[in-house]
Amino acid sequence: MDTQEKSLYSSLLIVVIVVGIILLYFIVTIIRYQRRSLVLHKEKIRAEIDTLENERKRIASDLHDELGPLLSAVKLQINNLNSQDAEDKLLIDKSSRHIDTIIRRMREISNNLMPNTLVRKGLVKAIEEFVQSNTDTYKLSVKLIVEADFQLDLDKEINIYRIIQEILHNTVKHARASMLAIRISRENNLFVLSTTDNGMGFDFFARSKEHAGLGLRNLQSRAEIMGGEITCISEKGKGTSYILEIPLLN
Amino acid sequence: MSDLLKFCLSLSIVFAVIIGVVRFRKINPSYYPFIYRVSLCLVVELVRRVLILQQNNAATIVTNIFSLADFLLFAWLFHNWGLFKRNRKLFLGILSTFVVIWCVSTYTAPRHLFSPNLYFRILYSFALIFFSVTTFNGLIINTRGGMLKNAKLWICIGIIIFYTLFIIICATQLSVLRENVSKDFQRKFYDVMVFSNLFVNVLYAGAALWIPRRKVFTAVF
Repeated sequence: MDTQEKSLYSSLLIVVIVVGIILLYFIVTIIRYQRRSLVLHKEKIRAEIDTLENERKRIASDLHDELGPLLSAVKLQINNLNSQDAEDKLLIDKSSRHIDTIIRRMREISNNLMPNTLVRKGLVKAIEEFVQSNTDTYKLSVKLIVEADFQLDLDKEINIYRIIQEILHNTVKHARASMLAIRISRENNLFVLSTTDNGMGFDFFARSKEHAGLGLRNLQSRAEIMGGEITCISEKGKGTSYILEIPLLN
Repeated sequence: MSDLLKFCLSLSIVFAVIIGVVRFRKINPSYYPFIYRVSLCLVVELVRRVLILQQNNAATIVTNIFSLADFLLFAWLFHNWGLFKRNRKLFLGILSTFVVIWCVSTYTAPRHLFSPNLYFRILYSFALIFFSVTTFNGLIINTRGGMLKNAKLWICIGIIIFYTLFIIICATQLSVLRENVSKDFQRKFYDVMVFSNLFVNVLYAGAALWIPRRKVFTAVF
């Protein structure tokens, strides 16, 4: 190489090195900012979900512990009325039945807000109970397969329970499916929940690009705060499948 | 740097190929074009080496055809990742456009297939960089987990770095190297690509390792 070529070669080398350094710096900076943004995003979602769950707990507790006994007392007092009038007796009977309906409905709402079974007997029992009640209500054939038992903390159990609630709700309301399979298993160090229905399906990619509904966002947010991942596969006419994977602590 | 050493360094793609082949049945099928691409790279390196040793001019033909296959496989990969909004017509339109451009650039070259189609290489490099930057931006916005073990990220970074330098090299080839420059200058000049190739091959090996596994969905009943 002569002197001119050497200087040309040096210039080219400098250009290549400078471009390389700028590219690397740019990429590293973006990844670092993404990490910070991710932490803030997760904190925000966690705060929102915690607030929501606390509020649900409070309302469920108020309904169950305060309104419940009060309504039972009212019913007792009404039943103790000693009227000889036939019309009054009919009215008392009718009121008593209304109060029974209110108490039953209130228990259902309270249980829906924060299932007692989940707190007392754990996730699997709560899911079994939830599936059973919905099978009866919506005439949906649900197959629940539990391949492994897990020791999860209550927050995670609540989130998983809510995810199943949302999936079942979507299956009934949007997919109009007649069958739903729910499988709970363990793969390596992951809790795996997979569901499949035989409903009408939807274009998941288009939906998530345009306006992911509140339900889909809710599923994603709950999976995120557990450090997990939720995958949905759906096509029109081919049903919908979800896989939720959550890392288990040793 | 000797030709043998350059050839050995170019074989660093073999790590990505081995990892890809071993994991092939377990990985998410949307990444198959990437495995095909790195495997094709390895085959092309070997074929080129044989042809160069035989002092056969066909090495340029192989590189020219590879440039088209390279674009098509990467475009297929980006299509699988949803870059073209999963619009099959748009994807096929882009592929057709680049096939036409390749044919035109090859036909208009002085010795047709025997001349390096530098204009096409610059153009498809730009296209791949744009695809990667768009995918990279999407990852930044949508990824909710750690990024460091994300195969898409490493593939995009590999493409951005490699093809940016590739454009510089091709553009220089179009201008400076058309002048009467010494063989020594040309040889040293191409060494730059050897190192960027090595760096990117390491990134691709990492990407092949972190390709997410195929999801096994449960059957209804």
